[in-house]
Amino acid sequence: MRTPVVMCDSRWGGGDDAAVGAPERAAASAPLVSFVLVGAYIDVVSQSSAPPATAPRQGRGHLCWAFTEPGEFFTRAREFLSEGLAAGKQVCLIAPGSDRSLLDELRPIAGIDALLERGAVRVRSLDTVYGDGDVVEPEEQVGFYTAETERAVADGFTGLRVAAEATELVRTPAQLGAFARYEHAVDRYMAASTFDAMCAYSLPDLGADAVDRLAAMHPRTNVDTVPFHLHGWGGSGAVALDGELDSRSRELFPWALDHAAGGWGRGEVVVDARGLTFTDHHGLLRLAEQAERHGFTAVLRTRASSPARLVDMLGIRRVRVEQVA
Amino acid sequence: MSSHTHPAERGYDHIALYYANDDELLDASVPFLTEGVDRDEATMIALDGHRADLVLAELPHPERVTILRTDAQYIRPAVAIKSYCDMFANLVEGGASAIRVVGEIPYSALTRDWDVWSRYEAAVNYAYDHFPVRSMCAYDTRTTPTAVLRDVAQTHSLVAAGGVQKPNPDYVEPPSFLGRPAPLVPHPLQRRPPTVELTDPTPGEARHVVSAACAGALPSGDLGDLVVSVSEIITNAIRHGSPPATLCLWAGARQVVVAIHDRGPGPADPFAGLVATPGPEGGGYGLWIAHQLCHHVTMTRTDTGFTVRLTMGHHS
Repeated sequence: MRTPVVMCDSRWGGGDDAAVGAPERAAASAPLVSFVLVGAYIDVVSQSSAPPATAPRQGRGHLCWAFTEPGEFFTRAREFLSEGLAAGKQVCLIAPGSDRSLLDELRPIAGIDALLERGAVRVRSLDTVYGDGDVVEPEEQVGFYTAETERAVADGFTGLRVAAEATELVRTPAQLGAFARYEHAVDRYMAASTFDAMCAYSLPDLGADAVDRLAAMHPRTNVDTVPFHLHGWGGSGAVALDGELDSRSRELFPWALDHAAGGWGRGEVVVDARGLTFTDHHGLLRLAEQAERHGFTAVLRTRASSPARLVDMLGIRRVRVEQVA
Repeated sequence: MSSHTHPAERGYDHIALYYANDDELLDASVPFLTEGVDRDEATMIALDGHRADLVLAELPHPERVTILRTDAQYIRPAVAIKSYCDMFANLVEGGASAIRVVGEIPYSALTRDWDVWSRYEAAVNYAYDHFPVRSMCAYDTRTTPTAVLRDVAQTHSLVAAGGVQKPNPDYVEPPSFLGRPAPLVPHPLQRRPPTVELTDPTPGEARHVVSAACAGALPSGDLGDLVVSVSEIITNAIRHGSPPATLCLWAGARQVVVAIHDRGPGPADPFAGLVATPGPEGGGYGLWIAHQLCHHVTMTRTDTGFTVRLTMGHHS
């Protein structure tokens, strides 16, 4: 089978399609595709020979990366995407700039031409997808990546990995709020699937406060000023809390919960807090408020003895503590 | 003391019962408890085994009196307040028109921890006033230290005399009693230089240092409770006090003392620590949590600022 190598894919934002393996559709959307053909038509390389997976354990693959220079982002993105390729995933770079400039950034990846030819590597220009001030629709975005991941798997990849420079999508408070909801929703999908992503944000452009907020919604980050992480855990709909909840989290934790807990449903929600080394009473009270507001009971699984003592002492309802080894 | 007369509206009557022999104990407590039973009020005693047997034997209907264990009821002042308040609230919710208690603080608390129990006796005038409660606090004048009896006289609004209760002219309003300067008595461990001294630590740093310094001295549950308490108090010092905030820790073989000092005046609320006063955002619990969890807590104001001293574990 012969297929064109198409790197620009405007489906990522819901626009016109210029899909891998669909030359006629790529041609039809030419205005969005400044360059399309990198290696003309070549044989698709089988994905079955991909090396064994080396990705982080499931539920922790979602990385928040703060950078000060665009070059830092591209360097880390190449590493991140290369790890994904080594794990047999289809990978995609999403960032501002032309498709050609994005492709140039991926040139240092070993064997890039062959990877492009077999559709293992793609790029997507943010410029062609979003306008200034666009606010993401979390469910729509998660639905999109779900479909993309399923497509990647159907095409023989082990999953999908994306490195996205998303600074432009979180510039206003409305954008930031919607994106935080999306980050948590897509993180829960990642925890249950073979999709993972690196979300990069410019620290000079956004400031430490906004970057801390975003970093708190990821299981992993290079931001060392964020005291806790709230993220998805496994395929059963559980969420996880890592880090510490104390006075440093006093404003951030309620904000993170506000943007996460609305999607947790009713009934019992397991909050895996084995990675939470400390919570003060404020953390428990804020969790209880969200549980009350959204009608669920939080089952806090923790190694520490003090949360159960505090819940009992303060008469906190809707938070049940399970002490685990 | 409440001036209400209707049982459902009246607040707390806090009665001191002085006795020098068994008869004096019975003369005051038996009519009091019997009347409670006769009126179908929730009636209970929190006395040690010997005195409990003595009183129950004289009651016409001892089976209608609830017996509270003194070792569980009087663990620590703040715990006792919470425990009694929870119980009173449940009884009222369950339909109790009024509640009567005859209790006696264990002798060891009178001699060893009276500094904190005297604060308890003052604070309950406020803490229990939300409930239709009458309580008699029994004090054996043969064994109770004079200084303790002086505080008892200032913290009880009524005095039992035979079968009746009379207003107590020596009673001092709780804020005045609690606001009096407390003498600073160093803990024995504080006679030597601190094991650890920190200036302006973050709560996280304070937790880390306390965990590391106390790992061998305390059981894990006590250590966890101390870490939570230190975190709360240092957070208060940073948020509400004046810098610098300092933390000094003395680790003994089975006991740890942590003193947290800042240059501010400390909380304005005289009941701080003994009664939770939550704000809309959940503030107001820090000192109270430390009082619930730590084995002993003192709060001291001096010219240089405010110090909270937490003690966990027991002197070996």
